[in-house]
Amino acid sequence: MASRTTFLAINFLYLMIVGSMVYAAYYYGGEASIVSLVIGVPTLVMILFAIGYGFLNGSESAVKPADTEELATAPWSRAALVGAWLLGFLILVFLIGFYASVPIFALGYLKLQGKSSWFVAMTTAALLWAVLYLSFEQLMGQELFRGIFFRALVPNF
Amino acid sequence: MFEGLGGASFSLFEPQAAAALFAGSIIGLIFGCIPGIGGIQAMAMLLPFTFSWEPITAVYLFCGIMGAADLGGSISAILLNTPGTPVNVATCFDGHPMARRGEAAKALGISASASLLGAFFGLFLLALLIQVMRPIVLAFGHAEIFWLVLFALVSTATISQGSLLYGLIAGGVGILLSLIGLSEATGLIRFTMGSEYLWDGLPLVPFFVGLFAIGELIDYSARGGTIATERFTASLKGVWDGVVEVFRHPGCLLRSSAIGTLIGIIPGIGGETANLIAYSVEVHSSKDPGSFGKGNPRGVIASEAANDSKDGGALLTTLSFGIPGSIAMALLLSIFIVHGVPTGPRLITEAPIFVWTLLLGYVVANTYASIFGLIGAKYLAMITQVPVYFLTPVIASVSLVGTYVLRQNIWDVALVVVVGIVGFAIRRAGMPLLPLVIGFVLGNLAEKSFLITLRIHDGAYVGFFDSAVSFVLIVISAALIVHKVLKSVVKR
Repeated sequence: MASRTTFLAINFLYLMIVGSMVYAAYYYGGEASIVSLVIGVPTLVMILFAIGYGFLNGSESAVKPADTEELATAPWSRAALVGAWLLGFLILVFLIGFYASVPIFALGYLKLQGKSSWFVAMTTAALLWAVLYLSFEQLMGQELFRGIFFRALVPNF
Repeated sequence: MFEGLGGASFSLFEPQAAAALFAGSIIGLIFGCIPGIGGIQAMAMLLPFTFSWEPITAVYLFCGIMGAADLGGSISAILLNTPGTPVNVATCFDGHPMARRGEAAKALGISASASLLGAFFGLFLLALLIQVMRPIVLAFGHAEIFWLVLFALVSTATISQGSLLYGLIAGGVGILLSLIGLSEATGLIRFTMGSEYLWDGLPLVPFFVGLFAIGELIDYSARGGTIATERFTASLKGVWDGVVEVFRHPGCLLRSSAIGTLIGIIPGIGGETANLIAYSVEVHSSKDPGSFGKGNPRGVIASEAANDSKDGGALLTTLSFGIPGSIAMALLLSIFIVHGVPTGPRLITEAPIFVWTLLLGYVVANTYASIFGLIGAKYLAMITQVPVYFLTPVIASVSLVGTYVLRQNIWDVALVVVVGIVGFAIRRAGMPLLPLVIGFVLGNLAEKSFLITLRIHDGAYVGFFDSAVSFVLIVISAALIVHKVLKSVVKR
């Protein structure tokens, strides 16, 4: 079941996005703002209504299930942990690039989160690295991001 | 009308052309499967290699890729809730829930057969209409396109099982997000908050990969176990059940194929729209709309049939007028130009054999793709039985790398992760994603059509109401809202 806190959090996020865009649209004026205002103002009103409704109905039933409700059943604590892993992976990519971070992430995730054996974790990490390298770099000729750390060390890396 | 058909048939048996068609189908299927990368990238990558080829061989390679990429995208949409290409978004809605309840093979069977039949439908109409299609294209001016977009939004907002209010909010937010960046209609850069990254707007592929692939990845990784929550045996029977299921819903197949073809005909709307509109129409025409989004096979049929039939429609405008309705068609047209093949209305009169060659190639390419899909479905479905902790690093890595490769922009990778986390929260909040997606895909088109209509009529709004097509779209949209409101009032 969807939680009221999450429902309100998403609506506040929507409020922030739509509110700032409507505010900015006033300054563009003319044609540049017309559609933004025509869509933005009613959406803003509806979001405020939804937030008010969420606050007034202090129970879980304030939020009616939507089309994807049945798909999301994972507990928040575990979802936050997976989210943290992904953010960690993203930071690693920024720092040391794809080729170094992909095997590190795969190895770390499989070993710590999946409780796999060293052999399975290392083999998977190596295979994943090889597949990415062969398919993207060799086959498609696409240069992957090398990371700011390596770029700083070796400018032409 | 059938002038050149005989000559074109022979070209299918030329070894080089046949090999190009076969290779193109495999390349398209593989590229379609990889999230973030699709047939367009494969075509763009291979375009320079084809300059020295015979025109027919080059066209067959492209036919193979175009015919197979959408089906490839549906495979990852069904198995991993990751639309391989943006045109497979609607396949996720019911295809993945089917996979989660142990019906992956059936969903893949549905996808392969609906794609094939949809493509045949589109191409059949193309062959019939190619001489007389001018009035159809001309019936859709800017005002009509604007109302079509609005119809799509209203229709998806009303099918969201929650309140109509949440559907409309999501649609509004989607449209506003699509307006970020350089406006095609006004030439102004808007809502970027000073960020150069946003000058081109929020990129479509990272947005979708984040919303669907990463959002879903967080969910099933946190749940643990396997993607399929129920055990199943990946058998050919499951695949066959999927094929049979398509024939149980001929109305759905024909409706969605017709919608796909029509949307394909209208230049500039794009393939991303066809599957979403067909899906929402299917939900509305169903006696049990509540079953959609939870693994209703008709959802997969609608999306995939529309996806593949739209190419027939898009080819119609590309071949008849030389107006490419999509990026894929623009790339195809570039092959014509490079090889000195006439384009526009001259193509049909001066090179009918080339037109038929293209159509036949496309038919064969779709057949190859569906055969590969049906044969492979049994084995591909086993992915849903692999422990998710094993899939998480693989899917995360491929999604992030695939997204990066598309534009070589590292901020796209950050966007994928951020949108993924927000997408997961939206699901958890019980709010609908579909209107958000539709609004995001169609928002720019809506603005452009709206402003051009106003300009054409010197700022008068009468231009929005002066055609029969507009009138019909307005009446249907209003009826949908009234129906939804009345239904909820009666329920209370």
